[in-house]
Amino acid sequence: MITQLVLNGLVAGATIALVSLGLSLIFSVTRMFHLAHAITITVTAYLAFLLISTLGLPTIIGLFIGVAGASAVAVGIDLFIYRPLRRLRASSHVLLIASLGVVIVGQNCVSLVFGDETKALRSTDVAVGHLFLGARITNLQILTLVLAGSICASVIVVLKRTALGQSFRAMSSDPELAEIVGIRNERVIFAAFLLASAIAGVAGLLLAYDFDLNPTMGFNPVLLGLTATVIGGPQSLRGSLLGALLVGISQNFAGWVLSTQWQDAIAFVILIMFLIVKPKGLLSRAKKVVI
Amino acid sequence: MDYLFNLLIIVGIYSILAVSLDLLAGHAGLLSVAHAAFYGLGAYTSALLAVQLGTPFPFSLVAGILVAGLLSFVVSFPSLRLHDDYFVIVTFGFQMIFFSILNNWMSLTGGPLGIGNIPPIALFGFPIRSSGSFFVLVCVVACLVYAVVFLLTDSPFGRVLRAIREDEHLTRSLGKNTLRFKVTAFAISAGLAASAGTLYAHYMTVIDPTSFTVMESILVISMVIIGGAGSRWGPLIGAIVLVMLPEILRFIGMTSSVEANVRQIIYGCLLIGMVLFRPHGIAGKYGFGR
Repeated sequence: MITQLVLNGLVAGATIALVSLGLSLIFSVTRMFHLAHAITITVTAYLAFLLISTLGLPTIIGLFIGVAGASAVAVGIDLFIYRPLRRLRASSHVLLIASLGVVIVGQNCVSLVFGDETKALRSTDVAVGHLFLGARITNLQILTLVLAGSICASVIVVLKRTALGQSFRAMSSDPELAEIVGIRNERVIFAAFLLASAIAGVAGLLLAYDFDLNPTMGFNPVLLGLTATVIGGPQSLRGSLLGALLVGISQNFAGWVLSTQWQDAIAFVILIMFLIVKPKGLLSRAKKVVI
Repeated sequence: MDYLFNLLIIVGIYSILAVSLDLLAGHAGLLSVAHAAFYGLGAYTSALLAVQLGTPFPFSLVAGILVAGLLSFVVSFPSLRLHDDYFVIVTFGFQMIFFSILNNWMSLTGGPLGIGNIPPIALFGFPIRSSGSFFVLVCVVACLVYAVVFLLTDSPFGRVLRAIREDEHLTRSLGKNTLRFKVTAFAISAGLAASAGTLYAHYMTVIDPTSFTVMESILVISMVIIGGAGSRWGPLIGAIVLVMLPEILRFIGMTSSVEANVRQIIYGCLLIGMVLFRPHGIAGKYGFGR
């Protein structure tokens, strides 16, 4: 039983990690919480659904275009909404509100176009999972773990080894100084949104195959991702991963001890407890965070 | 005529929610996403008292306000020590937890089925049954709420709140215990929101958790921002605009499911538009964060 819970927790944590990685990345370079990430997740899933199920395109192409399309939408949101606000020196409060507005518009647009009924992407029946150390794990779950693991590892490598990664870290530390030494802030932000949204798109597809689609499907993952990001320290990518695993595992254990209906509430209780006890996050390096 | 009164009652209830949030968000600059939670707290408290104990209206109203005000300390304790964004996130968290409790604690709240058979209000032995008379009641309560808020915002208390909004460190250096002011504002805001909940519960006679979600909080935030934060009449204007505007859609002849989505899209666009182009809202004095 414990093994099953840990396994389920890891898989849940893996999906949350993909989302929180993106949120952390975007927060590092823009100092805002991009709640409209929920729309990225939803749009990827629905776009893939449209291409694969409705138009009958090959699965791989549908998935790729889904991720690409959603990333384009996210970058568009940044270009047309966040960037003008940044130029006007709006506070992160305002950006958050704008983000909420985008979520509302996005969810309802999807609902308008596709309807509110749950749609399904999966083509095979729900299968019994493989036996592993006394617990069961399905093919999709294995895929989730593998994908999440490799994507997270690659992102960390990008951060450490490439010039782009260096720009991310520079902007995360001090955006003004970064601009002074020649880093084009807006370009770095563009790249951050692109990367984060592509990753979230993958998460969206995994969620779509596991839990089916509905217009509000992105909101909860983003809230959980936000929890993970904040727990781990919003500017630390490694912290976000840790936070995501923590959230995933605690949710599953709480579901066993209490009852699954309290799973979401537990995540937020953990969030609030962390903010009381360790507001800077588990692995935060930030020295300039004003609380 | 009934339709018009129904609309006006909804406007009235939302105007109470908007002005109480404005005290916190517009004047003190604390953007709380937990407002719907206190709204729901007032509604459920009054509903439970009325259904289980037969408590008459004025008492259930006061009870709702007190419960919300007291429970606001549970929320304000962790959140008010945190900076801007984290405050918003924590209130988000509390809102979600509250919704979870409403939805899952079946024995107390009836879960997704909610509470039904809420008796109509009877004042001094006269039952208030028609929409017209309920509207008058809503107006009376709204006037009281507005009076309270105006008194507070025009007073030195209000001035300190606005000072906190502009620069909390400076305010503290002037010797003001800013935490105390923020906690007080939070409690008052919560209590007033609860009064709207009581009205809602008695008007609808049936309440369920779906009326008290995060989206509801965001709707009230939109009203405050669009109408104009930190101003006298901004919240009222926001409530009127956001309730009335979608009604116009009905006359264009959309199907109801389409209309619901379009209504929300308009809300979202108005919110984004305001924040981009006119952060003061229609009548506000405080442009959020500019």
